[in-house]
Amino acid sequence: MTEPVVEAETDAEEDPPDAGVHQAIEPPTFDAPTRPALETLSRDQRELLQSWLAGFADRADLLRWCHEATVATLGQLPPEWHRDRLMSLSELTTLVVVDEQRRRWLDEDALLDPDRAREWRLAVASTDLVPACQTALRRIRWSAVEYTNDADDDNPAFVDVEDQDEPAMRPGLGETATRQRWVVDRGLEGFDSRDEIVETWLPYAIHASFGELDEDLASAFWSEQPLREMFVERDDRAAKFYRESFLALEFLPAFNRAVEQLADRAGEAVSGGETTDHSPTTYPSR
Amino acid sequence: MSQALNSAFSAVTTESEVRDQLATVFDFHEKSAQAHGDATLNRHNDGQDMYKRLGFAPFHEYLALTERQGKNVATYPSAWVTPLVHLKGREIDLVEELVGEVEYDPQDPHPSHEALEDFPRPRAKALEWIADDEGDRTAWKSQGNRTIDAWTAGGTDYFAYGKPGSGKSTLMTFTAAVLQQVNNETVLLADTLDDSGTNERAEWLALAPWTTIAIPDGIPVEVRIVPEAAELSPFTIDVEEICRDVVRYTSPVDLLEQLVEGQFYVVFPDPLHRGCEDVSRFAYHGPDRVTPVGESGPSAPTPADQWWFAFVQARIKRDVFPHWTSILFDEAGNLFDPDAEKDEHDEYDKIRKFAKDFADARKKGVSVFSYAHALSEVSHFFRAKQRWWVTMNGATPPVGKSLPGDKSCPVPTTRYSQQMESGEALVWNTSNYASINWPNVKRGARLDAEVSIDFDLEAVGL
Repeated sequence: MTEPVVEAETDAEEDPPDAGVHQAIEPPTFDAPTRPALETLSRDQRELLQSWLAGFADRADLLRWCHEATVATLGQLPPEWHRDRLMSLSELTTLVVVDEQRRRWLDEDALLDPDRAREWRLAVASTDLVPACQTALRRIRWSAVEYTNDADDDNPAFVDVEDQDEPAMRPGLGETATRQRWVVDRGLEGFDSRDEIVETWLPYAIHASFGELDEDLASAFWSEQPLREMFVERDDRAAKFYRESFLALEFLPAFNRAVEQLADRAGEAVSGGETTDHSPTTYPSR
Repeated sequence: MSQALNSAFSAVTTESEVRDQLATVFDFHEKSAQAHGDATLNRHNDGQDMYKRLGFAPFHEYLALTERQGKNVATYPSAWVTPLVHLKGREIDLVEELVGEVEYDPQDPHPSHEALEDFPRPRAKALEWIADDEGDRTAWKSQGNRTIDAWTAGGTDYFAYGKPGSGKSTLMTFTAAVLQQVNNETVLLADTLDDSGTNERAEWLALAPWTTIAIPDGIPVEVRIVPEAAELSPFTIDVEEICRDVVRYTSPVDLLEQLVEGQFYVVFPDPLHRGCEDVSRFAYHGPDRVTPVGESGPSAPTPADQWWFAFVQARIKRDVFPHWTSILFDEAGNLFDPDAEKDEHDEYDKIRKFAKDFADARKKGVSVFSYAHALSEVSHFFRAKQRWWVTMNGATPPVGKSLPGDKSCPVPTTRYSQQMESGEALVWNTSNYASINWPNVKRGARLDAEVSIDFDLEAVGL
């Protein structure tokens, strides 16, 4: 364990208004935490919180964050939470920090100034986000494997948390999150034909949702001309807004349930060191 | 099965065929300075011949390859390069001065700076590789930020542990060949004698063309060849026929006086311990001092292996032979027994003293490489002074455990060692680690017989 270091407070006035992400205090760190899965989850949650407080570039950015939030909270935010964020214009203007984007949704004089907006994000974080993170941690606190260095242990363990890139060290969750991430990104982009949706995107999304997706979605894409139009034919600003909304309403809640279901039963595994190749070089012959 | 295949897989069936095989295995290298018994001759050293004849690349080419592939061997040279490439203080200064002055090119056999031209070629190229460092090699947890910062002058060590069959004897042979190649080191393989006087291990046979066997003077010895084919009966040959040279010594100091720089020795300890008490303050009992059980005094002679404690004392206390000297201890658990007792042979004190003198030994250019089945097989006194460890295939590094001497293993996870195959190992010191590979130097000429060296111990009262 290293000694906690309390950094001197830097000149707060000189910082940009949304620089609340900088940490003035530093908690102690552990080289080999006994329950590295909790450490990994907690680390991801801190990052989630920081990017929330920093604000977002546009609505699609917020949508992607909402998906990351379902993963890092292990599905513990209520399904409608994301919808409430994404579908309320006044809410949106407090979350998105790029002025050009904000002015599209509200009149200039109705916009909160940046400091007030950040205050609002801090309020939402305290009432919703932090409690959801806590519930998530409680969900896995006893299933998180304890790695201790018993002197009699032939296989002593040490887990480098920096190497852990799966959510809560659960590869099953990581795989699902990666699938879902692709579904969201691909959906935001739009498609060249209806076939792409029905043949590839939706079946993949069904798998990514752990079977939680609405069963009528495929037939909706087949039969509902306006829906198809927004996803296939049009790529204007309104179509993008529509796709973001559709993903928020139909996909995020299903993905949220998928993560919640998986979190309880996904097995833990240590990963890492992938950046370094530890296979030896074969000694060359003459 | 075809005739040719059949003969390739079955043992030869006549004594003359076995003798032909022996002639090939023991085809001695006669052209080097060491073959002439004089290291000052203007001839190449054995170390410059060994890797060629054994068919592997010089060590610097391996370093260049690992560097191109971004492997730990090159990135953190303190793990595997430092223990093998020995440097004197002024050589460290020289290499430091050459940083930025040399351009290492693995293709060019000549070093790029005249200051390196006085060294034998393989050593010059290794030093050149060390000096040609743009600051990108030693990064993590190393002292300083250039390769050369990882060196302290003098000898080194490593302690390799792993199950039988994990490649310890090929690693041992390879280590001997590399030490001779890059340092022109005098390498002593510490062989053993059991109570019956028989030695059947002969793991050094791959190095037979360059080997000198050192045996205690006055003890009759013969070499028994036991053919694999059941119809052939064993026959004996002279010890001179299985090595390039034989030296007979009467004491540790006498052996030191006969050593040649850059020569490979297989040394059999003296069970009579002649001259041991002259160089050591501990007890060495020959058979003449044994007293009946119940009377005071030792009831058995001191085990022959303990002769090595006296030899190392002689090497560091008497400046008879100052050249780089490496001692390779196979089955180190026998010598550095963790259960050593405070008995009339002073075994416990000998091990403690050996460990205490380890730093002195290094300063005097002595290196000790030892091999055992597990970390726990050797005394913690010995382990506390070790600087390098080699975790062999199938063994586990002591991740997260505290080690004797307030040391710890830097390997972050046991996964790295679990993925190892035969002929691979994880070498580490307290700051860095690297995965290594070495050539299978065991494979040499074919011999369908066992070589057994028999000492007639009864003739000397044992």
